[in-house]
Amino acid sequence: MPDERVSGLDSLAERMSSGDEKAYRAFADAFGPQFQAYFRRRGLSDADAEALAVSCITDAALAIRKFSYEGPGSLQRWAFTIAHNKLVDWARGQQYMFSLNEVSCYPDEDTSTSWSNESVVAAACEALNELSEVDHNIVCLRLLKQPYPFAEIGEMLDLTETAVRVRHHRALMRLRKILEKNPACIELLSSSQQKRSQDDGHG
Amino acid sequence: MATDSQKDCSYPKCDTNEPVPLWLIDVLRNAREAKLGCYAKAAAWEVSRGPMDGDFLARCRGAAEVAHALARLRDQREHVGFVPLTFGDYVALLARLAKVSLSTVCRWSGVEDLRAVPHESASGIAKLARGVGIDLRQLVAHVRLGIIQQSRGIVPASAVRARSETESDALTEWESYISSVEHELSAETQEFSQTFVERVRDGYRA
Repeated sequence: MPDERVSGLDSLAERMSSGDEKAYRAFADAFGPQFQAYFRRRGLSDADAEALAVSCITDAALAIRKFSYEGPGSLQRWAFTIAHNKLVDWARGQQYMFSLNEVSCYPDEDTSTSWSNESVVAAACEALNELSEVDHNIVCLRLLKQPYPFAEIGEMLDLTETAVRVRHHRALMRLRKILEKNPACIELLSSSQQKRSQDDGHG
Repeated sequence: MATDSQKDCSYPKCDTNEPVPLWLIDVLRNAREAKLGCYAKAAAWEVSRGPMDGDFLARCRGAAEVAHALARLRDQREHVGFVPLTFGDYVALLARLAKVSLSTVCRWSGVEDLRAVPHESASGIAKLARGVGIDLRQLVAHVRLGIIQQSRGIVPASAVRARSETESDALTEWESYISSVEHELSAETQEFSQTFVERVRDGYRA
């Protein structure tokens, strides 16, 4: 993925903090379209994605003095954290109409289990970080509500579509093996199975 | 994260038809911290592929212009501190000192007339105050002064001696002065003031 455009943006924060109006404009040019693309991938309509992206530009630019440089790409990561939080707030306001569920490419099933448990989430983050960067990206880009097609991911990562498909599946199986050994996951899986058995018994 | 050369060789070969359990997808879905950096890079890649929408970019630049204006107003607010003026007059003073167009920030906050205090403007006033960095206590003082001024004509600034050494002292003195004047207002105005201030508080905390 092209990082040059992004790393050049890191100096923007300093210029914005000193009140440089041109830097504010450059920030808008760089991040507005990126926020919009991200929100669309998360399943927002074009109009909502645009409105939220515009609003994010004001919020992020206004908070720029809180940003601290932590290496190349840190401004982008920081800005996307703001964008993500804004998306979560927005989704809360639309709770009856919109879900932030990312996985529309997978069949719907109510697992009735809280996988947002802190230990499980930490284990998932660790497991994802055990993957190579390429596989990590492939898995994450397929988890979005509007997932990137395998062909596009291939284009992004310079791989064939078939290679992306195979790596995606192997990476998921690897993550499964890692997480099935995690005590917090084992506990949740077992309680989920128990609940399912009880439900089946009642049914 | 390990490099591809370190990790790929350790991947077991597996049957790509093996089903992916849904619990795994649910777990990964919640691992936000590990994914945002990847989404950010993918968004940058996606944007680099196609032409930009001029109208959308103009809106983004307008939003950045608002942020720039608010940042300058914040700087002035930190410099000036509390001044016993109505909210509208206070923001107008900051805008004049910061050489910022008031209409830009008013449009953003949805406040049409900074001097008027209709109920509908409470959330806009709260939004603008937060944007400018005015804390809730100070905002409430400005709003109450505005209602007194609307009811009584002018705020008798001379009623409070300019003896305060800190911003907090000045605010405390003015709060006690405002309370004493509010007691003299009609019951209807007092009720309006309480309701309006409550709406502003709610808007500020939202």
